[in-house]
Amino acid sequence: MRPIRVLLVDDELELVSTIAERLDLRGFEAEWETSVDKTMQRTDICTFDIAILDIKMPKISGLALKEKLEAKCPHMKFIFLTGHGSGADFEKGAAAAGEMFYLVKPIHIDVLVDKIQKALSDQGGKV
Amino acid sequence: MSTTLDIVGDTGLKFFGKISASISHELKNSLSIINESAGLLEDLTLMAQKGKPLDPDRVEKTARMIKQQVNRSDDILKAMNRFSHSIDRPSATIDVYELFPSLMTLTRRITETKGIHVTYEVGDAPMMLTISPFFLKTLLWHLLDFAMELVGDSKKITLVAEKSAAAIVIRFLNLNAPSDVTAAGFPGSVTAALMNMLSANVSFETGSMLLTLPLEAA
Repeated sequence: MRPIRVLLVDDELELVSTIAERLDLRGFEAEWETSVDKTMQRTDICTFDIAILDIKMPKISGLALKEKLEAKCPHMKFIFLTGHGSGADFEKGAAAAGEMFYLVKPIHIDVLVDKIQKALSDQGGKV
Repeated sequence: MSTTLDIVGDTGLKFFGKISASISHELKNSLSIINESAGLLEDLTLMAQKGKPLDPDRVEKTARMIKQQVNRSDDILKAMNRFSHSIDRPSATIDVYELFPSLMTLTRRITETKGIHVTYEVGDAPMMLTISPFFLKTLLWHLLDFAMELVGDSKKITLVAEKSAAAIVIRFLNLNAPSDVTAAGFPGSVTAALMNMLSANVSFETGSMLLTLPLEAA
């Protein structure tokens, strides 16, 4: 069975690279990008099973990036991360991926792993 | 309270809220990096306990990352503390050159979310000005917000300051200033009220917006 491929996109380089490394240690195949442009330029973008996106990124939101990725790779599931805890952000993130798949930073790696597995078992990660 | 003071007070409160939200986001990111770095150290320790050799370079790199984030958070909190205390006195003598980095730290997340990089230049000697520090920061933010609509392809705005006998001029460089700023919605009631309160004036030249502040502002 091939490992689950995870793409992390967040403009905080140290954060996204460390989470990716920790997911790798847990048996995932995790890669990361720090910009929307570079993410969309990847030729292997549709090889990922799930994308973990920061809600607030320069130029374009994680929600808008989700729409772009979804149009290109319909199978892809999503989890949102955010530093914001506002009600409005929660509603937007929860509406786009489901309440269970919206995580407020700082996250717990075991919770993230659980969310990835649940999203890929068709329990959510997309509406 | 007069209409002008109502607008200024309301604007100041909104600005305070906007900056507080931005700061909390920045601190959340910094804490998240510290959290993941500590988690990675735990992971590496667990693996070492299971017999996998510990990579000293990896540990050192992670420790360095934690220190960097502590410094980042400290800078943010210092700027937030100065900002919070800037409302203590209606007027104070401040160094404009110290104001620039503080404003950048406070607004970095907001400007970068728009894909715009804001920089500043400072001189060797302090550039002192007696003014309301809080409302000067509020006005500078409103002008920066407007400037972000005018920014050129470089997506970069640079702040510089010049001093004359009677005033300090802060220039926002690298802009595509519109020929008719009124048509572009400038200054608007909020910016106009802040300018009035600080006895400030805003003008435009090719490629730049100029904020003129009298040395003894109200």
